[in-house]
Amino acid sequence: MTEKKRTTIILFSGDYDKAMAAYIIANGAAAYDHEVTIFHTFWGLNALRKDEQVTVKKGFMEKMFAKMMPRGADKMGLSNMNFAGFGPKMIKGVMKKHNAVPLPDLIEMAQDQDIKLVACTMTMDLLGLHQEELLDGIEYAGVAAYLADAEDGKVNLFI
Amino acid sequence: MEKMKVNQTLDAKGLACPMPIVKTKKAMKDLESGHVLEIQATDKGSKADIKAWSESTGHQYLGTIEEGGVLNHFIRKSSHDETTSETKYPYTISNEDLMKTLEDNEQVVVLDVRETAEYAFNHIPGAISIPLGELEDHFDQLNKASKTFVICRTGTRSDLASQKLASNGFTNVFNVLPGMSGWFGKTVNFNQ
Repeated sequence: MTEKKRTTIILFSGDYDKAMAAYIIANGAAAYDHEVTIFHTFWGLNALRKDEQVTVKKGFMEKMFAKMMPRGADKMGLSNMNFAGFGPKMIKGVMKKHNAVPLPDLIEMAQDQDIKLVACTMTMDLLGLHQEELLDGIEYAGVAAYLADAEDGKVNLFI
Repeated sequence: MEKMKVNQTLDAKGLACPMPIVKTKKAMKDLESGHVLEIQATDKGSKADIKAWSESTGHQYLGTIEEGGVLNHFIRKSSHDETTSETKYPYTISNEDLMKTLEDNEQVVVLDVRETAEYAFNHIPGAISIPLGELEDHFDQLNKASKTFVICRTGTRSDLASQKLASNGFTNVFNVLPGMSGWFGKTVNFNQ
């Protein structure tokens, strides 16, 4: 049996469309029998946020961050034509028409396909995000763990 | 179009990328080796996707038929023993020699024992299609004395078929090696 191919994606962006691209590639790669890792850092962490409010102790800055950042994948804005929140509504309508899979479903599918979802713990601290606020079943790691996966990866992307 | 037997059909109509490929992967996992899966999709990119996916994961992409806006893709799950083909039937003929024999217009029978879907997309003109699994029920379609060349993709299934024929009284049977995978002679498909 040949060794499994590997795909690693760094999701830096917190934009709905960019995250969608990342998750589509990830799900495709998993169908290709790749071992897939998505490493979420900075604004990309918002894709992993639970959509309900979780009560955790936070300082003033952390609270501000928590309020200003989108709570979960479905609340994320677009990288282009966001129109203060109207853009995502439009694009979701168009997606429905074309049967494209919405981002929260893509994330669920990724978990079904055993894609490794990793949250960068260093940036979690910076943005004041706690483990309780993020989805269940994800992993927590730093740059070394990412590099360990990426060094023998055939596909490495930064989105 | 002739009847094309598939073992399983996957309805991926209306689904957008990456769903057809994700669903295909799931369906192939449960499929038996050697069986044929039909994927019905409306995503225009699915043709290139399914083909590339099959080749990369080692499955056999047979072809695509477009019918009223629906793309019907056919792939066959590969089995591991097929590539390490060790043939046991002693009487064989090379592709080149078969090609010559056919050019000389000799009265021979070419028996294609691949699945009907494989046959449909690409076969030697005049070849008879009887998949290996159904061979025993169709001995009566064949003449025991006539010169019969048995062909598949790589020579493994045709080897088994040749043995079966020989043990059932067929006296003039040859296994074609390597088979359709290395066939550069004339072929036809269901359109012709």
